[in-house]
Amino acid sequence: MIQMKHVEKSYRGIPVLKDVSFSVDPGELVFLKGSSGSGKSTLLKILYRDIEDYGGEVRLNGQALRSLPRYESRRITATIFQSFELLDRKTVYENVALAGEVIGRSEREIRQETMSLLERVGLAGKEDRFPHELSGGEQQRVAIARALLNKPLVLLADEPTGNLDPDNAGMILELLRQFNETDGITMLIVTHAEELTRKFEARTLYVRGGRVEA
Amino acid sequence: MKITKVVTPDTPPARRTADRSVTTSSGHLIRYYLRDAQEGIRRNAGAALATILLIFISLTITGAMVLLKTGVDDVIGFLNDQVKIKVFVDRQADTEQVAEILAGASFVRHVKIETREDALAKLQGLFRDMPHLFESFRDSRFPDAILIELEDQSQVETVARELAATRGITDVFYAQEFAAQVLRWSQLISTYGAIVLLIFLLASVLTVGIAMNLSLYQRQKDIRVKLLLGARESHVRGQFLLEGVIIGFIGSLLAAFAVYLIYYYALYQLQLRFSAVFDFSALSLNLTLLGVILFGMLIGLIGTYLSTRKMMKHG
Ligand SMILES: Nc1ncnc2c1ncn2[C@@H]1O[C@H](COP(=O)(O)OP(=O)(O)OP(=O)(O)O)[C@@H](O)[C@H]1O
Ligand SMILES: [Mg+2]
Repeated sequence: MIQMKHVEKSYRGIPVLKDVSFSVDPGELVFLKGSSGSGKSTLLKILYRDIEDYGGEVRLNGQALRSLPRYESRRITATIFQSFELLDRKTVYENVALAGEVIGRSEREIRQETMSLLERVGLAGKEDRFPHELSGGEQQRVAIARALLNKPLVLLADEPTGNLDPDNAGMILELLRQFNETDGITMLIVTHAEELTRKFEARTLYVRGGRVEA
Repeated sequence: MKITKVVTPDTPPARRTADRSVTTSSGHLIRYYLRDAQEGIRRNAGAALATILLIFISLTITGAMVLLKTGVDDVIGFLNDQVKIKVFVDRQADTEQVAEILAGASFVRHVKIETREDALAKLQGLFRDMPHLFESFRDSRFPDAILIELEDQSQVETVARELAATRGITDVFYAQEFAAQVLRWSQLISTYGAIVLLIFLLASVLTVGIAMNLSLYQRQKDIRVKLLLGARESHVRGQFLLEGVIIGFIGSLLAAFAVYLIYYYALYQLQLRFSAVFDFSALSLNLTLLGVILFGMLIGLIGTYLSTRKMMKHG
């Protein structure tokens, strides 16, 4: 599903990723770890097309990433962040629905699937709240629902539990695992949470010295 | 346009159960973007209002000036006649002969005979709304007149005095001072008016640009999130362009309304009173109003286009 071959990226001449090669199979859940500043976010940014000037080759769902229009690949890979990235002026429902709106789905379809996703992430009844009326864990669950509304093939998560206490963090990771299992969504999750990931039967990759190691 | 896109992974895993089909259509998109544009204007109401006001003012002035100009092109002609000297010829004299003699004089550039019929036709125009007055002229015996254009306008007073003393000429009329002044003014107004208008229009485009920059800045996060969710860059930009056009449209609609009021309460009244001088056709009114609206939308579009260029570069 995701393949990187000899990927390089430097910022103003300073190399961060030197020779990154790895692949993630369809339906797999993979954790990505590494010390601060090692280049985990950089690697994800390449995948969600925030960074376009890199060396090497990246393939997504069998296609060269560079050959896909950016919006096209972003409909294949959904993203969630440590900072949730919810819009403060929109309600929970509107935040999730936005994902369907920007690609032009019908209101009826959006409503149906938003409600069912909010139910699945445990936010039924909180559709009309605003982000600031939710706990951190709940906000991240809104972000997850929004990310999954358009049925992406891949979910990229950059420290999704970085702002959460261990209990909430555990619940979020468990939720992601459920979506991975029931919907077969391929997941690449950047995390520092050693304790929480130990009980997952998932592969872990490490970014070290500009490379990705098992 | 309905597109059903079924995304299939390269090797679908056995445990995959969910249906992956997602239906999209541009009809829905347009509705969402119209709503977002509305919301955007509301969120940025202060700047939008200022922009609308400026567009309103500049287009009202422009529209009124353009309309006035279409209506008074005849006045200018009328005034140009006034720069000439008009002499009335003794009824006993032969008008053509007098005209010929005058045409031969060194200070004359051009002469033109205005017959009794010409004069009556003009008067009929002037008194279009007062036919009883016109009737009283019809009976009176009108002398023929000759319009004289001089080589050197500054000579007009001397020439007029000389003409008055000439045999065969009964009266000499010249409104030169006044007419020339009016013409000079109208020329000045045309030139400087055009410059002022240009400045106004440029300011309008700039204000739209500034308002949109503000709006872009306020909504940086919205834009980033929408793009992350897979929105097309052109659609996100399109929404801002739509906003600019709506703002331009509101401003110009108000301006068109104001121009119509100016027409109805000022220009049309002038036309009723001085129908020989002012002539505003329904066509030129409609064209001006339409032009005002199109121009307003164009201002909104150009201003927004300029301010969203950068956004497109960053993608
Ligand atoms: N836009 C940028 N310009 C210059 N340097 C950058 C930029 N973004 C990241 N870097 C540098 O690249 C390196 C890798 O950054 P990156 O954000 O990928 O690290 P990370 O592994 O995600 O770290 P963390 O765990 O702290 O989030 C860091 O040294 C960082 O300072
Ligand atoms: Mg990071």
